[in-house]
Amino acid sequence: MFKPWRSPAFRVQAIALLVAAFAMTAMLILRDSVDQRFNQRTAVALGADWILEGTRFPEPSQQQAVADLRHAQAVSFSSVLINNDQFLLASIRALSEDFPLYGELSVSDSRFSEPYPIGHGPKSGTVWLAGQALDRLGLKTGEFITLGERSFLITKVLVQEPDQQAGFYSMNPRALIHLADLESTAVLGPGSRYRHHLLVAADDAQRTVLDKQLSDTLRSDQSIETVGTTELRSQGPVEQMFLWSQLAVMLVVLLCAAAIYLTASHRARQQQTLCAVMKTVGARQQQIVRRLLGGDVLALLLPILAGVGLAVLVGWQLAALLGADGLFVTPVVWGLVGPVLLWLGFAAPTLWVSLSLPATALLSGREAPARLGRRVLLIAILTPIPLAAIMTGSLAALWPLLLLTLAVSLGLPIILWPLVMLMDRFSARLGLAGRLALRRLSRRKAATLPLLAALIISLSVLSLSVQTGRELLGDWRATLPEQAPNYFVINLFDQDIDDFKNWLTDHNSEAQPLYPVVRARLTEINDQPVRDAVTKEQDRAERALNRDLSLTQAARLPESNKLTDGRWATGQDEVTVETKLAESLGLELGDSLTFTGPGPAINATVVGLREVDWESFAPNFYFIFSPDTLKAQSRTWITSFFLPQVQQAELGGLVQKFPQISLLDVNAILATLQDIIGQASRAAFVVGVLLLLAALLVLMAALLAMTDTLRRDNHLLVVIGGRRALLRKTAALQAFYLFGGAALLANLIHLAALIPLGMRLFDSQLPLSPWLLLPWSIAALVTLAALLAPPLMPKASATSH
Amino acid sequence: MLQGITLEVNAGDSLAITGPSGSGKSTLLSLLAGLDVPTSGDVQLGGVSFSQANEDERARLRGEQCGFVFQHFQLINDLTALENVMLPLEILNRDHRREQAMHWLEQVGLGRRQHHFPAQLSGGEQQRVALARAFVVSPALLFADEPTGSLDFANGEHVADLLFSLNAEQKTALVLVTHDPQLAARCERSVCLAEGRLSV
Repeated sequence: MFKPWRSPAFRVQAIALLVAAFAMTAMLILRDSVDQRFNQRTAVALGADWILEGTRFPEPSQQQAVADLRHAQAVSFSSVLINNDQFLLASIRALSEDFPLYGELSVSDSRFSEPYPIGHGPKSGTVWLAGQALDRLGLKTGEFITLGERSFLITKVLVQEPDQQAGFYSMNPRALIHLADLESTAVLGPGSRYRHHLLVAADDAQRTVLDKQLSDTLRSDQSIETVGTTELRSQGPVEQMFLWSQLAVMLVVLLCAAAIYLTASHRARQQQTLCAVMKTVGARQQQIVRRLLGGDVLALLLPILAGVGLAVLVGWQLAALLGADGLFVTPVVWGLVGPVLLWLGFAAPTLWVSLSLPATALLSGREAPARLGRRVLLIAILTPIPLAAIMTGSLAALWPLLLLTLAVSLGLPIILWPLVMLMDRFSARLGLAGRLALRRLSRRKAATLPLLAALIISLSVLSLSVQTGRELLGDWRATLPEQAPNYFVINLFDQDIDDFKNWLTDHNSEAQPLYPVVRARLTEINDQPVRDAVTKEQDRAERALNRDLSLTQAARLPESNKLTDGRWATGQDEVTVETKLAESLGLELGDSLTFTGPGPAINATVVGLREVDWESFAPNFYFIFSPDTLKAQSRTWITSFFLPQVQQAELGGLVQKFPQISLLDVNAILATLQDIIGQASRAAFVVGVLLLLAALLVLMAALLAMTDTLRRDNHLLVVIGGRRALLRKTAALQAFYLFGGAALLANLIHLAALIPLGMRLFDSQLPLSPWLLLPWSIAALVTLAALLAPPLMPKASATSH
Repeated sequence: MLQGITLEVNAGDSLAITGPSGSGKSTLLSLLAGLDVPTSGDVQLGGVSFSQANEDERARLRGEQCGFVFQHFQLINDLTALENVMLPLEILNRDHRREQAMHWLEQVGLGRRQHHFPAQLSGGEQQRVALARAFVVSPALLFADEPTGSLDFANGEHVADLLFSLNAEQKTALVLVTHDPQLAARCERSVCLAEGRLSV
């Protein structure tokens, strides 16, 4: 068990397996914890595990299919609430008895009393109203309100729904009623616009059965959404994050694999004599394998267990952070299987082939036949597939990861190939130490190219993660004007404007212009339904078409906007459009647009395109109409203003004065953003360290493989008159060329990554940082270590027979 | 390991050292070349004592005065044939090293293979590059350790002819360690090493 540890090749293999076990298990734990947390949150956010959505009630057979499962129904539509002669357009939701399936509603008993959670919706005959609706209709709980032909008693103030996905601008106040009362209101008739949600609580297996049963019965207006297929999950940043972090872990694992592969033949050579002797004294193959490979396998279990153990410790921290349960049975099992596969794929075949040679071949140091060598290589090439499968856990995610891994692990070395060839040419002009150092790298491309690629990736990840985590957001904030707006206020009413301006004057605060906001959907382009007119399948277009947009009108071009084409909208029914959205919708000057909202349809002609500085902290809009175009529409107002942090307490007075407004604190958002960036950067830094560690393992393995050559060359140089200083200089230059070259290219990648940020956030200037020197300091350290290390010299003289 | 050895090699001499395996030939060669120093006694090269010099001084003396040819060629695989020949000149920081190295490569008949790396040359060619490298510094003393030991008969003969003719031309003292009695017979003097002692 302890004997193999005497071999340096074995020690490199052991460390490589430890690193791989740690990286894989940590990745699996992260995935497990996030999945667990994500499923919980998605189910709460969706209100169910499985949802059948349609513009009409489901068919009886569909309702029958979910009868045995816990389910609820919700019908959503817009309608007008009436109190005497006051009308208010509200977003109504009629809920069945079992709503909500997940999470709780938050309500209060009166307008400003303390909210509390509640596990059901309103009883029949009652309504729960959002505070804004009460304010605007001048009502309070205990009073009555009319919806259609039915009067409802207001019993609670609705503060929050568990599955509310109203978003930033869905400002129609919400009203909740019981589903049983819906018919009696008579607001929905044939042709009415409403959405029906059949919400079901179901586990994975039940979801699969439901999908199978109902997918063939879906009407054209119906769709199924589940926690597994929801857009949040499949298109959200979480999957992206997993893909990139899995790629990073795959690279770590492949580097460890490279180190194991490189040391395997060295390890086999060490065992050859013993193997040959065993063969000559009549040992059977099984005995030899048990003696030689068995010892290695047993001894390697220790580093694998240590790697998995370390990952579990980190996992507990992670689980505490994410609120997951901290039981990692599956990740631990796969975390143990992964490194074993790694050893079986990258070390065992080489050892097996070497040890299966005849005794005479082993004693004479003959190489294995090329046919067997090709098999070893094939096994090594195929091994990453099960490793990636372990990491992703799904076939759908496996191929993107494998393709990306292939692209990075082959692409970068291919890009670096001409560079190394150029170095080779250039080396002829260098002095002896420089030339020899460079040639030791350029003449070993199979080891140098992946090593260089690994160092470049790890050093750039390290420097970028440190800069983004520590400096970037702070630097960006430092570039903002001192009195950049730090609060957004939305949902001001017409009658509030004068009082609001007075409040700002009283607090010496200067606001951006006030903009009216009208909510409407883009429905037609050049009199064609928008779905037919827009052929481009772009995210931005999709987002613009699938939701209500915030429209405004203005007499002057906002300071944060720049007209790029056409002119500013001044005439009757004219509009200017943000350039990128115009591009994704295929809009051109002269196109006519129709928007449909609660008020009369809005028609306007596109007369100009604007570039928008979205980081200006001023309210920005995709569509700005000419003055008076929106005058017939129901509207609220939005603006942003600056208030020093010390005066923050004054905001309480503002909210009390205008209870319906929503205030967005930019500093709080930035602090949250900083926190998220900080955590992501720390994770990236750990990945960078792991990559660097794995790259150093490959370096050690490569050095081990060329130890004999280095010893021989160094001794020869000394024999023909070279001083030891020459050997040290050569070793130091070799380290410098490798790590310095990697640092230089890592700097280039770092700067290239900063260019888009510089363009967007730093007035086209690169946010340079002293952390760019981090790769150079690592290069300097390694170079110094190489300079100070005693040169490798043979134990026996080069002149020996 | 070696005892009572007194040996003098003068300019232009050729001396063969023979003896069975384990007799101490390699140790003697290491001492003569200043790669090691004796525990007692002294080795002098051109009147300079190796025992009195430190490692770097001994390296300088070797570089300036000695050439080496080994059984396994000992070329640096990462350098071309020309660069291998230039190597001692670069270490000594001599001028016109490329021209001199090229001259010696042509002398051994490998002028056209100057840009080839050792792996691209045959065993005989590699040993000829090693010969060019040994002679390029115009050494006073040439140590040859089984120079034909890794070559087939024809190549061995060719390399031996080249070695002795260059030695005669350059008036270099030659110390040849070999098992091969025919090769030893081509030297002016021959000594046999057995159990650490020399016999003529």
